[in-house]
Amino acid sequence: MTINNRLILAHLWTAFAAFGVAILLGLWQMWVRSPLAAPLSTPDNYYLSVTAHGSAMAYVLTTFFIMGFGYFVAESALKQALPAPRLAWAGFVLGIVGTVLVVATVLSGQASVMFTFYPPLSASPLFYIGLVLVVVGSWIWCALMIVAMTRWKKANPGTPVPLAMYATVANAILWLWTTVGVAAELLFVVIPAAFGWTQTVDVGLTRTLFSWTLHAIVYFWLIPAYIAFYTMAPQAAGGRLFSDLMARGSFILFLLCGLPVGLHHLFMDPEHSSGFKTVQMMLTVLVAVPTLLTVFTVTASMEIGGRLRGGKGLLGWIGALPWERPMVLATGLSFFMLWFGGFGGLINMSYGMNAMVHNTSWVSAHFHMIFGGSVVIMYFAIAYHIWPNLTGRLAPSLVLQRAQLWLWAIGMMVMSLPWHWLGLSGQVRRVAQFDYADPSISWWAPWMIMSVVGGGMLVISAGMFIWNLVSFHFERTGAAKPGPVEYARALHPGVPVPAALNGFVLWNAFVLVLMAAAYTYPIAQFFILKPPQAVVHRVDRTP
Amino acid sequence: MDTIKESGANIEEPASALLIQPVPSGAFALAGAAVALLLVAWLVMYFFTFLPRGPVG
Amino acid sequence: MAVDEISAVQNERRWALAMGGVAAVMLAAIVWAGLGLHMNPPSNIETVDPNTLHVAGEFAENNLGTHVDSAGKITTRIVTTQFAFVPECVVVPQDMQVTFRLASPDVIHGLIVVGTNVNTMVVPGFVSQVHTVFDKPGDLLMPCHEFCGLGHGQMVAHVRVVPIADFRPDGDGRVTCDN
Repeated sequence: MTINNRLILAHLWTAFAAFGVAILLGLWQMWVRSPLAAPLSTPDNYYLSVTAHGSAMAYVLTTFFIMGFGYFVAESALKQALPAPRLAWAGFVLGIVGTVLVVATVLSGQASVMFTFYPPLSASPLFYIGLVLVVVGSWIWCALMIVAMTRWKKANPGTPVPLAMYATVANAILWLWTTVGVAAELLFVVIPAAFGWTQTVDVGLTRTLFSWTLHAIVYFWLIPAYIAFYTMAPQAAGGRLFSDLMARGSFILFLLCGLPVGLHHLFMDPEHSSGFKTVQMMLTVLVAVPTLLTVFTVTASMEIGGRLRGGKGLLGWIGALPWERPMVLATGLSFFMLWFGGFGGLINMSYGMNAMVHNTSWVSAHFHMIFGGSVVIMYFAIAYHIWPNLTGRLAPSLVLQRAQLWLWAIGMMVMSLPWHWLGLSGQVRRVAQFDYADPSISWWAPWMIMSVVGGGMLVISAGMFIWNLVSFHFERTGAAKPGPVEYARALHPGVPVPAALNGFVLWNAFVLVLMAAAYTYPIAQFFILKPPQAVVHRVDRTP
Repeated sequence: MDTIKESGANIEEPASALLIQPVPSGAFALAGAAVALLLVAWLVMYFFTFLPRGPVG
Repeated sequence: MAVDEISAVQNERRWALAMGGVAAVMLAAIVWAGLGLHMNPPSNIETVDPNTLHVAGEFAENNLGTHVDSAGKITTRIVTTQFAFVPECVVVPQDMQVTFRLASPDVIHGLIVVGTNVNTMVVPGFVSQVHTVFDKPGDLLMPCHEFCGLGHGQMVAHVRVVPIADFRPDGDGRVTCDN
């Protein structure tokens, strides 16, 4: 059982509170973009809302969820107390202060620059400082995860680190590497400009530094879902993890290949050569490998569960799986959405093919399917899975949990699938209103209304999710107590794990080499080339 | 009753039961079909949208 | 290592090889498109000062729009600015190589010519350049596709593709939507 339940719950509830607000904004945004008349529909409000939605979902929901879940794994998988819980609380407070600054600046219209900033647009400095505080809080978490694992290894020589914790530390290390780019962008360029200390910015440099962060950050968000795939879903399905070694290998591949690929977000930018774009495109192909390995390993692990439960034939095991269990159901739905999200991503990364879809609704479709769909549905499943532990109470209703998961998956597809063809036919992102009277785009109207309906389903599902969690806290503690969360056992336990697959020193060296190869020149070129700088454009006050 | 607790319950079966199927043929079939479809979808986009949209560079 | 785990890893390797095959097919197609068909992202590291580009040089106002030089090379120059394309309509001939050159005096913009592979960011400090051939006549929508401020949604232009017979440069080699 975990000891620091309050710490974990504080993080997770912060994450889900941000999520609950952001999803309402998302629905309103779909409404504004649709042909239906939405209230308060002005460009100011729309961009304020998009900035708030993006920041809350991409920074607050994710970071706090990942920190809280990491603390849970550190205690439940290692079966030892968290080192320095006070520091963990300090990290939490930093994150809260940062979040309050972000919320205050965004809601007062001082920061409508999207969560991706776009200098030379410049928001209130407090917006960026708020984000820096959230990141610094998460760095404390990273340090605590590394210390927890190191201590455990010292106390348990010769025993491999439990997979869930190994993967959590992989994510902590990935995040430390990831945040270097955005930290450099904010501290050296964006914040000085926001304070008015500098009047111009090198736009190419800021885009390149942000690209350093922009891809690996999605793996930071995604790894908790993968931890659930590998260590929770097979257990819930009554199966075994097909291969513990391959699972470790996948997490290492995420660490190695998730980072040196950010230039694929800049394929359509003028400031980089086709040479470096090609190199990072090749590396992006490699980062598909751990996901494809995961799909196989997790499917094989589930197959074991289905066969143990009497499933026969080539595919009979699928029907034999215990789909009534939310973790199993969520994994199935997540994989289904992963197909669409993965497909969209493959088109995005395909170099020249990116021109068909760059900055269109296709891209929004891709990341809503893969993040909002595949990843967030696993956040829900993880919450359902660990809440009995955190509250000491059994789930009030699995029926409501399943209904919520189904509604989420269906709503996400109803909302996001049309964006694929709308994007291909030229619907661009981040536009508040379209001229549906234009005959060339009038056919978009019904699809946009469909997206509003999908958004409505997501809002209802989110409400059910919050309700399902809240109702735990009000459930009477009966005679039946939840057992501790058990992580999936490997099909072949006791396999010796090579030292390289039980630590990260070697892999950090690899990351360093890869990042040096992928990013040294693309960053250095701005200091060699010294491109003319652009004048800062403030959005927080009229000049 | 269906509870989360039950999901943590383990079926203690002999090791041989785990090896009914040494090759995960079902996983190969299911995941293989999914990826094959993915490749087909990608090729459809390549030949029927990307190439017709003309040269660019 | 236990024999059983070896068999598991062998199965994984079989899977990984198949996935490598899938990736190889896609990579081959991408490389073929890039090298064989010249379908590449626009990469053109060429700088321009955003603060002076409107004063003189190729992005001064009287040089914008479509121009045919003495060698017959067709170039369309557009300035993307908060919150308009200048000019808001450009003419290009069907079935001929056209080069778009774009620059921004203020913030980041971007554009897509709907239904084609013409797509580029316009980053202040750099000239974006895209070569293409339009194979069908018609008026194509060209919206700004990157958030550039509160007026972003109003920023739309048109590319008018005309049959070669209707593409008539004036004495200076210019073609505009007005004539």
